Amino acid sequence: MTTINVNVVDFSEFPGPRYEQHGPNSGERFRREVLLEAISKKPEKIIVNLDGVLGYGSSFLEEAFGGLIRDGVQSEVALEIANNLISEIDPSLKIEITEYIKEAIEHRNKNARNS
Amino acid sequence: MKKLRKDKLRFIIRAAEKRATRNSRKASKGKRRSTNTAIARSTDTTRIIAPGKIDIYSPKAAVQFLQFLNHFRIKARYNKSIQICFRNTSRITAAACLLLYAETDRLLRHLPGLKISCTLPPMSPGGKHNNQEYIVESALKQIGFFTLIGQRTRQIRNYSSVAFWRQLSGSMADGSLTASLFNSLPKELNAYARSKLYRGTFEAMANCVEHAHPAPRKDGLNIQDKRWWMFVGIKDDSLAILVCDLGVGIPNTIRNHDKDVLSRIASTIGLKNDTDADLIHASTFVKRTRTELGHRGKGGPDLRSIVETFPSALLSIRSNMGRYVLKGKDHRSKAHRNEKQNYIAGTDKREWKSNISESILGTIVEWNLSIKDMKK
Repeated sequence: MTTINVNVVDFSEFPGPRYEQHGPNSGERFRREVLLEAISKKPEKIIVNLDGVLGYGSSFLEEAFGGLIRDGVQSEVALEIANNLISEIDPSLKIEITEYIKEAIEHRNKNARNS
Repeated sequence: MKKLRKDKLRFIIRAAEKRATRNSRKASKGKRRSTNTAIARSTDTTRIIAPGKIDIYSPKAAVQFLQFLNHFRIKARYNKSIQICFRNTSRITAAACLLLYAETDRLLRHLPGLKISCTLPPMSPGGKHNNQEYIVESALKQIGFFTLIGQRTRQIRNYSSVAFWRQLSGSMADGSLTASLFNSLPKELNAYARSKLYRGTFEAMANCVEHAHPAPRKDGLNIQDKRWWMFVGIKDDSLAILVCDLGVGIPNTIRNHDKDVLSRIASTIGLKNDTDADLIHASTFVKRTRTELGHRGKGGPDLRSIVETFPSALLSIRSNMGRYVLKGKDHRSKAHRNEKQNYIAGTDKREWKSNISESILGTIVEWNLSIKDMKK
């Protein structure tokens, strides 16, 4: 069974804003360089460890994880990543990220119905 | 000509001296008036008197201080050399101190050749025993005001009330910049508390970068300065964190871009008016922002989250003419006596809002927390 372990702290100790244009270590870059890269290897499991950084702004989390759906990642894959998250310092992050993914799925479905 | 009498000579000379002083004062007054109205920037040094209280916590002091800042900007526009006279200043508070620093920093960066100097504030009563102390001078020195204007400072005592005042600024939402401030926090603070503080302060900083500058600030200077200024102050058990920007202000951002969302929030929280304070209150619930994209924003609730996590915390958002306050259930502070009528219904006096007659022309988000509370 192939598992990819991702430690956010290896990306940065100071997670940044939503987009790279607004500051370094953005959620956009984390998604593209780390999460999508890991997903492209098609492992059976991706475990993202959120601990070890100073903290997260909600825009980083929304763009990194909710953005997966906007980038065309399958809902099940994104929800599975959320399900395997490790966040011992702040367990509420897991719920928050799951909500972002679900909102993005809802938004995508709504757009699909309208088009 | 009247003959001078030797015995009266002393009085005559004194009267002549007084007359000369009066005439000289009158002449210099006229000269100052004429430089005020000049369109070209004068190279003469013009003087402005800082108010007795550099403070925006009390509504009355806030109006006086903001009028002074307005005057300061006008002087900077038309003169190349300004001297701020602090002779009357006996009190300085964190938010106003940060605002003064930010305004000065902005003017110096964008008005070429501008020189700012200042006279030193006098001693004022302070400390436990109301001793005479150089508290205002110490505070200005501590946040780097004298370094900013390039004025040499003298050695003075480091007063405990301002000893841990730190400020920094930046133009990007870069969390690593806050490292030095977070490192100055007590080591006993656990990782959870630090992460909550980081979340709130980072989102405030990101909001400055993303949303504060869709148009030039309405001060007539036509300056685009997208920086934010942050302040951390520790005194005994209290921690204050402030983030300031000199942008268009939250009310303008909300008025221009969030009409649908705003009307939905207004009906949820029972908003009846659209004063600056009402719109700031609404903004703390806004998840969607000016881009009209569903996934943008989400920063407003982050500002509230610190208070929801720490019961002794207080959040105060000042933007343009409005102020909105949210306090945790254990926080002791009350609305200022002029603000009592503005408690928000259904909040058990934990939230209030008010407006003043002058605008800060920007936004200051401030949290006050008990360090003890964050060690739990």
